[in-house]
Amino acid sequence: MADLSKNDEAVAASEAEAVAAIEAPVERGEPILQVRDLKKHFPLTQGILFKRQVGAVKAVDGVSFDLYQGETLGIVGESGCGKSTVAKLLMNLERATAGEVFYKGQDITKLSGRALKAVRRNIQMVFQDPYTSLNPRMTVGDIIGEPFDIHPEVAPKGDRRRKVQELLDVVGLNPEYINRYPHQFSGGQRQRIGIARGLALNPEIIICDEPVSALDVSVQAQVINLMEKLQDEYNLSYLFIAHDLSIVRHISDRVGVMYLGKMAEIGTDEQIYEHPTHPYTQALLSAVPVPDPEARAHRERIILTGDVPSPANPPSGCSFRTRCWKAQDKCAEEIPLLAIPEPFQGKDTPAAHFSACHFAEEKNVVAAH
Amino acid sequence: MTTIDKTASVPAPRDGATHDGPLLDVRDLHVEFRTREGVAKAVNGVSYSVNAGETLAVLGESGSGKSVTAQAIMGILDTPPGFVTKGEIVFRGQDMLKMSEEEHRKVRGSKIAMIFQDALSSLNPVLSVGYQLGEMFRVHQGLSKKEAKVKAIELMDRVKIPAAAARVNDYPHQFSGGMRQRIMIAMALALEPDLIIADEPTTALDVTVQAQVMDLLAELQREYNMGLILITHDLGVVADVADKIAVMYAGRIVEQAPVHEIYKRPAHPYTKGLLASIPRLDQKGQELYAIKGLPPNLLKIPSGCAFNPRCPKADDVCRTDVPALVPVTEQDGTDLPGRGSACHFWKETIHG
Repeated sequence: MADLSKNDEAVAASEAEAVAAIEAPVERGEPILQVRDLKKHFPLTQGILFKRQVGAVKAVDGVSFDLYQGETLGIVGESGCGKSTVAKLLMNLERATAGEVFYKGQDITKLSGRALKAVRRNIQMVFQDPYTSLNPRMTVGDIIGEPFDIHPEVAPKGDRRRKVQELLDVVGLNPEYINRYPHQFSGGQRQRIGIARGLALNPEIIICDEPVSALDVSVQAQVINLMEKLQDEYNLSYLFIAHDLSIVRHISDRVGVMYLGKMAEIGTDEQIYEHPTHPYTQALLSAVPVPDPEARAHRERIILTGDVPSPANPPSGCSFRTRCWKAQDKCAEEIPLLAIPEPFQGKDTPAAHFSACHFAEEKNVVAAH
Repeated sequence: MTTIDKTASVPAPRDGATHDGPLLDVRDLHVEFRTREGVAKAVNGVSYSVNAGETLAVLGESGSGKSVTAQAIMGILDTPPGFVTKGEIVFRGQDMLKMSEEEHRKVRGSKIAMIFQDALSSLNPVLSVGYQLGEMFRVHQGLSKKEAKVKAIELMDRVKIPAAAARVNDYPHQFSGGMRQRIMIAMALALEPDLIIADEPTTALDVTVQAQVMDLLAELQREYNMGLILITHDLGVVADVADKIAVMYAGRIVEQAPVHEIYKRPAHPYTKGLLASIPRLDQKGQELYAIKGLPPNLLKIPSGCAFNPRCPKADDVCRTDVPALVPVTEQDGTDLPGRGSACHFWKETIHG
């Protein structure tokens, strides 16, 4: 018994330590989130009574990156590349198969109890579809105020209504709408409600999973501008997941390109968009339609053949080799590591950024203006 | 052959059986939905035309009436609640709104075909794709099942689905999104129609696949010299493929122009706002321009110009008078062919 209580005490002490670390502020420009070799494999099973594992969908297969305080990191990639699974892992909504996620030095994949709760308060999420991510039977006031039920220390009970109205005002909605239901709002307004809910607990990081892709063009700009304003005001760090490369460029300081559960290339927005070295990034960028008919003629387009391979059975070596025009024998044998490619090492060029390709080479596919 | 006799006896074809006007000419079309909450005026006087081999892009946000217009052309409007209250849809010289259901069915599929946005929900999940592709031939040309299947394989080859013969008996869920959209295109192409209406054909697809599908569509269009109406909200896709553009807002065409013109010099504040509000891949901009407010509720469209509550230029006249779609000219009065704007202040917008 004595041993047990001692053990409990030790756990409590380490938990208190973790909470203290989580609540300490981070300087601007310091890494606030460090992801190291993160993996998530979903098992594929066969049989009804005696399930046996016959394989795994490697949704996320060794992803590493840093998120700095106050910056926006954009993550782009096609559907099925694992970008949304990364978001779920960072929120601890899915347990990682392997790897670490350090939030202010604490590995959140191993936290539980009070420390995990403190982390969750500081990492919030805004979802893609404002039509399904809000409970239709709750009023806007209840939806935005719900986080306070779980974290009552942020807003005492008597204060909540005022706090919710403040949040509505911050995201540009009329505070008098507090008793309305989600169906009484348009898509853009609903996304504002989702953002207000994300802000309720004064988080430090907001993970946005395709926050504007369900909205009309003229409303997208409103929401993007709102998000940029809030970032400045509350000193937020965003992880911005989207498939629209133009929007990602607009909002991001740094961009990571994912393919089949791996990071293909990562760098500042200028490095990625104007000096991409990974063939996948180049193909992706060249395929984006530019709203300028003059550019039609003098743009080089790389049209990839085929579809993304199944993550249950990825190709050997480089996972992009099946669609790559540069692929050689080496690509099938060796997995390229995410590092500064050899030709650019030690050189002071924007092409010297992390890229996972054996034959990395600079190519500007976006016509500069 | 009874079909030809029937179509020939359709009352009053506009310019006779041999016509040399545009392929499709929509004139002053009005569509409304009568719902319990009131009458939603979805389309309020839309006119546009498409020639053979030409691509018309209809651009607009959700609720602008772009898809409803297409449904009216195809004759697949849900009635009730939707009703065409006014207008003409003239296809090869014949008003389709005056045709009987039987005649309409002969045109639909064989002369005008449609590609829908969401291929997964547009295909029947319990029938193989080969059976669904073959249906076009069985119903319209009376081929046997065996012959239809051969034709289906040919079609799948033509839209570049690998191993067509092996996959003809597969079901829609066994194909990827891009492949499913190719099957939709194959189905639309089956009877070599004169006109294809593509309603957001690539919205559900990834960019790399979107590029493949748009390329295929353009290639097939050239090959068959088809007219194409491309309905979309994506200004980027439009710039890549369209010949001319019609911008819709609250059931009206607010601006139309050849593609090169509209991006250079928009003549309507809505088009101008849209172009300014999209971030660009090749530019790292400052804050985005945002059109304030929301698209209007179709049950109560604002009086005057429907865009006036959101317009930075709105004046008293905009709140009272509905602006007509007038031809746009150069400052010195020279014609700008194909251009029109429905704004009281188009001169200031384009030249100011």
